[in-house]
Amino acid sequence: MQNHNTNKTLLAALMACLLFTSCSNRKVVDVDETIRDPSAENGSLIQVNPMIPNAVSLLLLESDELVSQGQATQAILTLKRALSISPGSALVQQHLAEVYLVEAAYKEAMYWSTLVVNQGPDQGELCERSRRTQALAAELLGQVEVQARALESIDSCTTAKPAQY
Amino acid sequence: MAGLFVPWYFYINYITDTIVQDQWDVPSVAYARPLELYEGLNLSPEALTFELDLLGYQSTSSAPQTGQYLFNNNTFTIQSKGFQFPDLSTPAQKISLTIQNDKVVSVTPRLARLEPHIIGRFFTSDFENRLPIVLNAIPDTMIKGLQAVEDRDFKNHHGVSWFGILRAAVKNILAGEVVQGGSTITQQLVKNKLRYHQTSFLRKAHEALAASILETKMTKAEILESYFNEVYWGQDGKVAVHGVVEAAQFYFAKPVSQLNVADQALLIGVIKGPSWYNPYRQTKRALLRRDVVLDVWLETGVINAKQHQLAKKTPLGLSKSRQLKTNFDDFMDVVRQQIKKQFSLGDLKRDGLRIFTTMDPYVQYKTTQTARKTSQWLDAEVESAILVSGAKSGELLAVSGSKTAASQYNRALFAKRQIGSLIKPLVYLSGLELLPTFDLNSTLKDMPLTVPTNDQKIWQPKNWDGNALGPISATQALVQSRNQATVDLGLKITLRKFINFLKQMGIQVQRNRHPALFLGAIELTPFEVQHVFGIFSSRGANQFVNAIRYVADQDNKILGRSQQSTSHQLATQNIDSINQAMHQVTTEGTARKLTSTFQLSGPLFGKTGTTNAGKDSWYAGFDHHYLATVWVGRDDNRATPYSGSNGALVLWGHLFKNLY
Repeated sequence: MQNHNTNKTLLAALMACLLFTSCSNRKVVDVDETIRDPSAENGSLIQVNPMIPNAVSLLLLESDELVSQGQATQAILTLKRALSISPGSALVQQHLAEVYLVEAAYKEAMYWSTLVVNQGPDQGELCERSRRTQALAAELLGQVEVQARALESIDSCTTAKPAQY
Repeated sequence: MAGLFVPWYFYINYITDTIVQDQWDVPSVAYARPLELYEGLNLSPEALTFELDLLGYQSTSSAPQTGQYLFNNNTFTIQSKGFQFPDLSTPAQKISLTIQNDKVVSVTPRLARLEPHIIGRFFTSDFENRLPIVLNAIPDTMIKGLQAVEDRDFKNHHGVSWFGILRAAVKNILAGEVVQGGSTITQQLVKNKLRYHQTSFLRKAHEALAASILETKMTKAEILESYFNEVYWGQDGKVAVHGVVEAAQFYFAKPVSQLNVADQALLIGVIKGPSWYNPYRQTKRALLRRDVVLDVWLETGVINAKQHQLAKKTPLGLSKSRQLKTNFDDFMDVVRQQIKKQFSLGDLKRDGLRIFTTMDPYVQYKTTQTARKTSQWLDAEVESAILVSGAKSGELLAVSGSKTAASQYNRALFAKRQIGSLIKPLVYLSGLELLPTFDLNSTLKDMPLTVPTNDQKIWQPKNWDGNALGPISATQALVQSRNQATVDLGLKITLRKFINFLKQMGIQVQRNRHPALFLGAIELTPFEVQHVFGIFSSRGANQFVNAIRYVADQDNKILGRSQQSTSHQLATQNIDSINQAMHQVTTEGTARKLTSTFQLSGPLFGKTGTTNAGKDSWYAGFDHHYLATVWVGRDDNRATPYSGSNGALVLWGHLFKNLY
């Protein structure tokens, strides 16, 4: 009987532990603070601003507004709509990666940020944003090596001005 | 007598309880992708007109009303119907857009979205199509108009109109048979619910008692609401159209709120005999019936003289979308396959889920058209299967599983066929991934070779032309589809490593451990081939072709959405190298006909595939917008005169010629 109770206690402790672990994995990510603001300081001589239709710009603004209102699911649908207009747009893909981070869908955040890293611009602000997102997603997924690689590659997004003589 | 009446009463009482508690099974609905309208969109007037016709819009030469469009001097003015999308409610609105050289050059508002077309439903076994609506969402004229035509005493009686029955009885006695019902709306509701198809005096008594009891259990408003959701309005093939929402969609392709007085009168008129007054088949009879209803409405004050005059002048205005020959069944097969991983068939048949798919109706139309002409361009004995998806998005846009509408076998999804040389891009990609010193400039030996196999035999692969070119570059070997050079590379990779590589790409090799695998001795469906080439067209971004964007419930809550993932870690530059070679295939290799004969502008990328004696003819290729796989062959797996270049490629060329 005592053995049975001990088992029950252990099981409850295990469940609580699992629950706690699961909760601790879900981290509230402030995209502006951790990704966008530091990337905006990117001072690369070469800045790549992908061209997108006006309609996509409207949808990006709309999704940002939805995220600020805490409606990440709606924001994702809005971005998927933008992606249906510009399927290869690195800017839309980056927005998606960031919203997935906010929604704690880290695998999706990793997928979209990796796509921007592989196929998006390799210079400038967007380049840095994708690598910061990838690094953060990798950290939250426990992929230390990917995180390290992503952090190291941030510097490659900047081409410094040549020294003046 | 009383001994019979008591159990009868309890039985009817029980029946009315089931009517009150009855909940409708609402079939889930699958929608095509909505057409987004924005500046810069590649869109021909033909494509937009097709889309508008499919959605039931009517062309007009004056200022368009809701559900109409005006096309004049390259400019479309559309009065849209609005739609409740899960991300945003799109209101009914005026959209103006100008198209020049098949491109939208201006549009107001800057981003507009048309409602999506319904491409399929998940029915229960009785094939009833219904979407419930609340009473206050139904136009007042229709509610009052129903009572004026079917049951003027509805507000006052208690389920049975004795005067109505008396009047009907006199007529029936004079005629010597049952010629008039005299049923109230409540009785008709009972009749519909209990599925009475015969008229007899006993049934009438049954209905009358049930209606009287029902009136004590439901308010008049509840009875009306139930009636509008229950009543049978016609037949769409084997599917029964029930309820005003589906009737409005079926006859006018409109939401109920946007039915005009003439539309409403036709619908109310049709209730008396949906088959007899079928407006699609009996146009004159239906028009007369509508006008009778309008006269009754004027006489009873439901509408005024001006409305009456205007409605009578209005043509029937039926939706043309039913008459457009489009075939969505093959695409729905894919939707069924993909959705069953997330939802049970029971949920789909009952819960009225809204499935937003990736299907592009215009691309589907062009794909079906191409497939239907297979026998015109090729031998009458061969069948075809075609799939089209977004080159970058991995979204499935169209599927054709056969060259004929009559065929029930979806070859695109279910026909496992040997893929032949379609495997070569994967052999060369695995070489780039797995062999550190290999690139497409490396030299391969295109010469006779002898390969021992696991079953102690000797295998001697030959080239399709019987020649051997000697040492050639890997690019040349891939572009010219050289078998011996490819096996030379394959042996360097090793069969074991190649099989593991295919596994990473999502291709399972079950039994085949023969080196002929390097030349495509593996059976895949056209759909699986589409997955594989999606990796190339998206530069490694997509591994899976999705047919569903997301699924919502009736309250627009998202229940599931497509998620992208990949199980490979391919280097983008390696994929780019293979794509470069596949581009050369279309300019100087086995698919050069696309640029020379078909004069497609491209840039195009692709690979032909042929199996022994032309049993299978394949072409999988893409441009920046679309990826398409075409298979041609015989169902009995017998020989055909076709290689990939003169069989599947012909359909692919015609398809792409028609898509732009």
